[in-house]
Amino acid sequence: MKNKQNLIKIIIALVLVFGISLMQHTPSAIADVPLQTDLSNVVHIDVTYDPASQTFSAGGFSSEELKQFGVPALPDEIWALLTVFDDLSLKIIGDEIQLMTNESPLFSMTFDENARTFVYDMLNVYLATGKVDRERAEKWLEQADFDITLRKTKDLSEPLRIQLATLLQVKIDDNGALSVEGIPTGMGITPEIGAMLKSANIENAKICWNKGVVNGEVNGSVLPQMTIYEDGVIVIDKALGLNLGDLGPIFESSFGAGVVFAEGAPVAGECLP
Amino acid sequence: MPRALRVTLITVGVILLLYGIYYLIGRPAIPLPAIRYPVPAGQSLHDIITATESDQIRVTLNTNGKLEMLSADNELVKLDYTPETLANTVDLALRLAPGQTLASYQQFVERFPVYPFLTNYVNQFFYRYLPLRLSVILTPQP
Repeated sequence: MKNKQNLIKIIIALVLVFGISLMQHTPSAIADVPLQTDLSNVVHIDVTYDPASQTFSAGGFSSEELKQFGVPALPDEIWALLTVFDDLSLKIIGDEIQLMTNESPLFSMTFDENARTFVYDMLNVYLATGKVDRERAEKWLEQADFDITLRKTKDLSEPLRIQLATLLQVKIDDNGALSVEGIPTGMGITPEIGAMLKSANIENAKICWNKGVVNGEVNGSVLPQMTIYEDGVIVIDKALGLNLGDLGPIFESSFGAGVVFAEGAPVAGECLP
Repeated sequence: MPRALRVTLITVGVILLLYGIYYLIGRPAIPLPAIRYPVPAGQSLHDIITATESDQIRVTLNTNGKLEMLSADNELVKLDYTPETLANTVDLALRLAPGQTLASYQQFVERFPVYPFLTNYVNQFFYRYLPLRLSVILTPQP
C-alpha cells in the first residue's frame, strides 16, 4: 500500500514537472537562414559595345533584349566618343566620380548638386519615355556606390551584380503598365492578372532576394521564406528549356523591390538580412 | 484512491514521461511512411523529375515549419514557415483563387465558425509540440 502511495506521489511530481516545462516552452526557431553580413550597397554594371554594328549590351542583356525593355539607341555623338576608347570604367563613390580608361585615371570630379542636375537633365532628354525622379535618384546616390565598366567588344556583357538594401520602387498602374523608379519599362501585366489582383484587394508587395533567399510580404502580411537553390533552378531550366544562362551572379546578388498596384500605398522599409 | 483515477494518473504520467524524453532529445520530427506518386508524362512536373540525375523528387513536409523539395542529395527549393505566415499564405491563396472559392470558404466558415480556430489549433499543435514528417516521392510514370 505504501509502495502504491509512493508511486502515485512520483507520478504527480512528474505531471507537475512536465506540465510546468511544457507551459514554459518557447516556440522553436523556424529557419537556419544564412545571415548576410556583407551588404555593401554596390551596383556593378558591365556594358559592352560594338561601334561597327552600333549595338550594345548591358547587365547581361543583349541589344535585342534591351530594345524590348524600351532602352533607346545611343546617339551618334556618343558612338563617336565610345569609338575612341577600348574600355572605360566609371565609378560613382559618394559624391565623387572617377573615370578610368585602360586602367589609367582619365579624370575625377566632385559630383555636386550642379553636376547631378546636369546629369538628370541629360538623362531626361535621353529617356524619352519618362523623367528621372530626382528625389529617388538622390536617395540612390546617397546609399549606393556605382561601378560601371564599358568594354569595346562584341561579347555579351556580364550579368548585373548588385547588393542593395534600398527597395527598387516598382509601380503597376491601372492599365497594367510597369514602371521602375518612375521610368516606364514597356512591359506590363495582362488584364486578367490585373483583374485578379484587384479582386483580391492586393495593394502592394515587398519582395527581397538575398542570394537565393526570398522574403515576401503582401499588403504587409509576411509570407513564408523561400530558399531557391541554384541546382534547383538549373534542373527547372534544363527541364523546361528556359535558357537562363549563367545563374551564378544572380545567386551572389541581394536586392529587393516594393511593388505598388494601382493606387496602393507605397512600400516602406528596406531589405535587410 | 479510486482505481480509475489511479489508472488515469499513471497513463498521463507515462505519456508525460515519454514526451519529456522526446522533449529532451530535441523533439525530432516523427517520420511517417513515404508515399510514392508516379507523375504521368506530358506534365511539366514529369519533365522536371526526368531532368534530375536521380529521376525522382522527394517533397518533404516537416510540420515544424519546413517544406523541402529534394533530388537525390541536392536541395532544390525550401520553404520555411510559421503558423502565422502559413495562415497569411492560405488567406492570400483564397483571395487569388479563381471563381467563387473565397465566397464558398466564407459560407463554410459561417456554418462552422469553429473551423478557423480548429485548423489554427491543429497547425500550432503539430508545429510546436508534435512535429511530423510527411514525404511524397515523385517518380516519372513509365
